[in-house]
Amino acid sequence: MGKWFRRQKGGQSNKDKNEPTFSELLEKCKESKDFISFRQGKSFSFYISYYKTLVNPDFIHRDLLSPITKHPIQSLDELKNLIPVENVTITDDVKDIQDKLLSGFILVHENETSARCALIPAIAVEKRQVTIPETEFSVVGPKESFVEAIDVNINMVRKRLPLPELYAKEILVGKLSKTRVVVMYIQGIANEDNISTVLQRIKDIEFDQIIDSSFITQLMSDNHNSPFPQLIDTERPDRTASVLSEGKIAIFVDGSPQVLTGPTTLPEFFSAFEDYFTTWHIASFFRLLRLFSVMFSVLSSPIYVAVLTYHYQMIPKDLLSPLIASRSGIPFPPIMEAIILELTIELLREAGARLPTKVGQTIGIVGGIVIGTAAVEAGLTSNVLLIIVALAALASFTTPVYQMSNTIRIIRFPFLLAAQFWGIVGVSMCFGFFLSHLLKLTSLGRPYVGPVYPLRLKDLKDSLYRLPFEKLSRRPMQLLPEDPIRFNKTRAEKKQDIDE
Amino acid sequence: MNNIKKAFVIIFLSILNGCSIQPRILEDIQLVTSFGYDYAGKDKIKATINMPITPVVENAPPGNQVLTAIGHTSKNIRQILQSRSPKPLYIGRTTVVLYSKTLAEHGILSLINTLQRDPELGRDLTLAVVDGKVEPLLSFHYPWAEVTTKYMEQLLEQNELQNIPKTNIHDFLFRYYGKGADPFMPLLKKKGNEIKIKGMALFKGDRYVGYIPYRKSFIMKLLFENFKSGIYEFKLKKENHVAIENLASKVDYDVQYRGNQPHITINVNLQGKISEFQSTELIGNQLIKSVEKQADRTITREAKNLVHTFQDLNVDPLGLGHKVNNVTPHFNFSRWNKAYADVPIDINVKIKVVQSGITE
Repeated sequence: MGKWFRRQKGGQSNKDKNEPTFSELLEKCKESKDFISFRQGKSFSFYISYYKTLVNPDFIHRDLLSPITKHPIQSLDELKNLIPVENVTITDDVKDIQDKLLSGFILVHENETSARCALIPAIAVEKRQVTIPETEFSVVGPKESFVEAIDVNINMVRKRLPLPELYAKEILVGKLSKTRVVVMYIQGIANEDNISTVLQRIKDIEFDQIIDSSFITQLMSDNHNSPFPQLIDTERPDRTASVLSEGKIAIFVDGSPQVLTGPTTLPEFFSAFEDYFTTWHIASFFRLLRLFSVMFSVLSSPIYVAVLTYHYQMIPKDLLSPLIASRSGIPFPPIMEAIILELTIELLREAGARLPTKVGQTIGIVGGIVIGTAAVEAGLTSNVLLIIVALAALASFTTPVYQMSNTIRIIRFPFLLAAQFWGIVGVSMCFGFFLSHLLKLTSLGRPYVGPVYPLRLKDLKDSLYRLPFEKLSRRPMQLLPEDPIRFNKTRAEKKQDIDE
Repeated sequence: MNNIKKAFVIIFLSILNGCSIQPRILEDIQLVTSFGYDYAGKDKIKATINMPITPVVENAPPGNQVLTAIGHTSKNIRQILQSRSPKPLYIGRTTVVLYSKTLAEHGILSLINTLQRDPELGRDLTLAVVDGKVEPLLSFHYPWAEVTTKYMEQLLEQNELQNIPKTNIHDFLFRYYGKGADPFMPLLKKKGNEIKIKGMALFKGDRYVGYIPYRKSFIMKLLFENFKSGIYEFKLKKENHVAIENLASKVDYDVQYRGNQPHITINVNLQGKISEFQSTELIGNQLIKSVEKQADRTITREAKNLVHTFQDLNVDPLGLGHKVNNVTPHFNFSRWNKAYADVPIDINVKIKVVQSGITE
């Protein structure tokens, strides 16, 4: 892998050596049908060149062509003063010209050989409307979600944190795509080490194209071989603003409606942002429910296999006879039965995810009712396992972060195999294996299992459960923030009513 | 992960594979849920096993299947029974084990010992003695529940809540091996198409020596443990009977030395409720007082009789020796065993009627 990157880097640098001249650049551009270059002006004539697919056509007619036909210009400097837009530059750097031309600037030049030309920004931004968050939907609270345009995304966060300390550092990543990646953090709150780690890792990324923020997650995560995501991706601007003020760092990627935040901890993956919109009792209950459902989702079918294969003594006596009755006609051992059903559920989920929404619903009905009932009636699976597997699948969908819920669904398969080979011993062994992996895992160099290990009692207030806001007077120590105090605790607790 | 670590993982996994136990898939094995032993001459026992056969049809009740064989040891018998069963027999889900009275008189330790060693069995296994033969009791199909085992389980379970002291294999072994206590078990009897609890079978060591009737087992439970249910009926005046429902009873043992002689006082505090009164008389304070007084007297007398029965049989199911040992330095068990029959035991029963139902 590393070698492959290095070779490509070498190839790129070779290209850099023989930079094209201005006329060569124009020649190359003219190969494309959407590149337009024409002559304009009477006394002082010049060329106007641009990609018609990248620029805003209204701008050309309204703000460029109409002024210069009314007031004939004599030089490029005059043009610069005439055009009512900022950022008009005059340059002869061919590389700069190439970059700007390809990002939607209009090129005004005197002739086809001299590189001296004016670059006028006329970028046509194709962007989607800001819509309701779909993967992190919440019943109450803000209903904005990020879109593909990075400036809109940054705008939505800046609106929520009007601070000059909210820094946005931009880095271009990707040899071919040259994607804008913006790292945002609050200076004076976010830990300096974390900031430099993030900046350094993004600078070190060697890849040709960055299409989405998930590319960045995969390329900069601490352990590439771990199935657990090591950065949270969110589509909610409110969540991003909230974690920024905790001292975390947000990574915006142009073209991606998801923003990465980190350093993160395992409990954070099981906290939905809606938890902050409900009272703390309800939020805590839901968080604990989600933790329980993760355990249930991962362990229920492996324990079923283990118990039915090895540990018949563990089955409660009133459950024995229904279990035997439902199992007695099944031609497969429990492991086969479990794997078949688990794969069926995964198939349904995958088919539902690949198909358009309307057809996806049909798949749900077909899968849930027809396949489930038919499998039981045909004697292929027992209905007890059908209930367990369906509940486990349901439980896995309670995880608010999509990437994590995928992980939860996948890691039950090694558990199933261990249950078949070594029974409950195998399940506990597999559990121990995953536990030690999680203990070793880090997110941007900070421990992944969060306030639980190493134990930070103060951080626990907002991790596995959530206490009232008055109690959360400190930022998570896990992040080592520069300024740990969120607000004055004594003043927050002293509530003065007027009539007292 | 470097190569050495990888190699270790592969080696350990392959070694563990060798350790793996034989799979016992639930529907491929035959679970035995209760079994019992009869005396079959010198050194020989007859075993009867009862197992539920689950029909393939769903929601149908399981059927009862019984097998019987004679042999020397219980494992030998299992082997013989195996020859007649289509699926391998497993006793891990057994809940009730029965011993015939005749067998119990000869000693049953060897049979309990094998249960004690078996890691598959839980410690909450109920042991019971059968007055008469075990085989007809286990083979009969009772109309009360779909399988005999379930019937016996439920019978014993609900009685242990109200009327008889709680017992299981763990208690039996604790009393058997522990000094200063003797084990006991419920005594069952088959009567027509039902099983009834006849009383509590008393053991000296591992041998059955006698029993106390069911009526008295409530008194034994009062002396034995704290509990919160059960009904006791006694005669108030010439014709009137009163039933007192136990709301909460507490027992407490007090051992004091008078000279060289240990003196045991058993204090029972019972809070009760008059649940039935064989008269139209209104229940007033006066009456409640007399009921309390009469109840104290009756239960104290009954309890004294019971303890005397134990002393006469020279068995110690209440574990008095153990309790005296707790407060005595350098306790001599052999001297205690000789002295047990004559140890003075006082019983104080305090009954408080706290309510008499909703008509009050």
